Amino acid sequence: MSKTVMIVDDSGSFRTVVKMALTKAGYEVVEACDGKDAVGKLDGRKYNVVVCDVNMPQMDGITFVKHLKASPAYKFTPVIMLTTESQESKKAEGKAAGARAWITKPFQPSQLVDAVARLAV
Amino acid sequence: MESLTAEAHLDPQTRPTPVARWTARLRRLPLMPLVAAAAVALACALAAQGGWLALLSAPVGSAVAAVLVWRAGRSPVAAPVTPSPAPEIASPAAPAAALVDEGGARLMVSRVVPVWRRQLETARGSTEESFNEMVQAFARVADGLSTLASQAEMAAPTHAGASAVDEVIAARPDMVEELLQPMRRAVQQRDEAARALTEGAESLRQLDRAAKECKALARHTRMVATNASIEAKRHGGHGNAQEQRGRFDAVAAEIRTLGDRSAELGEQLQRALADLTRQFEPLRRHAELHDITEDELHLEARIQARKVLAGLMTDLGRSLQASHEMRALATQMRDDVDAVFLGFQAGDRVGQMLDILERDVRKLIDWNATRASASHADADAWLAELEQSYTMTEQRNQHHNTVSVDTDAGVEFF
Repeated sequence: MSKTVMIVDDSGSFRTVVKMALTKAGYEVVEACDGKDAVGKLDGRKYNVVVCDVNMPQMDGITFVKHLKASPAYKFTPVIMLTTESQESKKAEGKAAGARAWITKPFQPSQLVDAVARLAV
Repeated sequence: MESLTAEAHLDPQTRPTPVARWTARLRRLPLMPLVAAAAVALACALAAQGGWLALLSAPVGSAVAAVLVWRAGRSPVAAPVTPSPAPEIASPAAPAAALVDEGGARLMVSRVVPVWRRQLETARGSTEESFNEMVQAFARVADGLSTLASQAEMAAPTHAGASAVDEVIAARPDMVEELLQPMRRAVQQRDEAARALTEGAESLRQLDRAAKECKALARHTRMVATNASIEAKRHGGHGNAQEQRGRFDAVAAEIRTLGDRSAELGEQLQRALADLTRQFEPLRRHAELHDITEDELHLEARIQARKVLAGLMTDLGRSLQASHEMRALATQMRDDVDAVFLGFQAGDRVGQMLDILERDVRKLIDWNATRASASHADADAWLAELEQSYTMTEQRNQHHNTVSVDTDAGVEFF
C-alpha cells in the first residue's frame, strides 16, 4: 500500500509540480491550498508526511504545523517545510512548532523525494 | 504617481484644515536662513546703540549668520535604512524629523521606487533566465526522445528475452547457413554412402544366389560324372553299341545342360559384378574428389562457428553500445526534466516577488492620497515595513542593493 503525502501550498502550479515528483516516486498525494484548507483535511485520513509552505493566505504554514501537532491523531506526523524562506529565525520558528525538516526553494525533486522517504512514517 | 498638492482631488472630509495647511507651509520655509537674517538684524540694532556692544555685534552677528547659512546650504543626508520594529508610518500630526523642499510624494518616490525598480529588475531577469533554461531543457528533452526512438529502433532485434536467440538467427540467416555447411556436407556424404550400400546389398544378394547355384551346379556335375563312371564300369564292353551310345548321349546331354546352366550363371555373375561396380564407382570417384576426414570436418565446423560467434559478438557489442548511449541519454533527460522543474519554481518565486511589489504600490498610492507631506523618517519606516514582507534572501539583498550569494537551496533536518 503506497504512502500518502499532504502538500500544502497556495500555488496551484507548484502543487502540481510537487505532486508529479512524488507520484512518480510512488506516493499518493493530497493537496491543500493553504493552512485553513489543510486543517479541513485533517479528518482522520492517515498522512505519512506533510509538506508545507510557510507564507500562505488565511493560515500560514507555521500556524498550521502548530495546529497539526495539537491534534492527537496527527501529533506524530512528520512535517517538512518547503519554502523560499531561509532566515534562521524562521527556521527556528518552524523547528519550535514541530517541523522535522526545512527545504529551501529552489530544490531538486530528488531532494524532496529523499527527505520524504527518510521521514515518512 | 498622484501629487500631494492635488488637494482638490481629496474627499472634503479628509482635506487638511487651514491651520494644518499654514503649519505645513511654515514648516517648509527655510528656517536656517531666517534665523541668520534675524541675527544680522539684531547685530545692526546693537550697532546702532553704539559702545562696546556695537564693536562685538558686527563680527558675532556675521559669524552666526554665516554658520547658519552654511548649515542651511548643506544637502540633507539620507538616513541609513535599518529594520525598524515599528511598522507605523508617521502621521501628519507627528513632528517631522526633517522636511525636504520637493514635497512628500517626490520624496517617497525617490526613496521607494528605486527599491521597487531593483526588485522588478531581479524578477524580470530571473524570469527571462529561467524561461530560457526551460526552453533549452525542453529542446534537449525533445532531441533526447527523438534519439532514444532511433536507438530503440536500431537495437530492436537484439533485445533481451526468451526469443532473443530466435531473433538473432532470423536476423542473420547467412551466418547460420555458414555454420551448418560442414554438417550438411557430412550428412550428404553419409546419405550417398548409405544409398550406395543399399543398392550394393541387392547386388550382393544376387551374387549370393549365383554362388549358391554354382555350388548346386558343381554338385550336379559331380553326380553326372559319378553316374557316367558307374555306367561305364557296369556296362564296360558289354551290350550292343547302340545301347552304349544311348547311355553316353544321355550323359552328354546332361553335361550340355550343365554347361548351359554354367554359362548362364557366369553371365549372372558378370551382371551382378557390373552392377556393383556401377554402384560403387561414383562413390569412389566422389570420395576421391571430395575426400574429407573427420578431423577436417571438425576443423571446418570450428572455423565456421568462430565466424558466426564473431558476427554475433559484433552485433551484441553494437547493441550494448546502443544500450549505454540510451542509458546516458536517459540520465541527461532526467537532468533536463529537473531543470524544467527548477524553472517552474523560479516562476513561483517571481510571482511572490511581484505580489509583494503590487501590494506596496497600491499601499503607496493610498498613502500618498492622504498625506500632505512626507519625511525621510516616513520613507525609512516604509522601506523597513517593505523589507519585513520579504520571504527570500535575494529580495533583501536587492532591497539594500548588495551582492546576492545563493547559499539557501538545500535540505536541513532538525
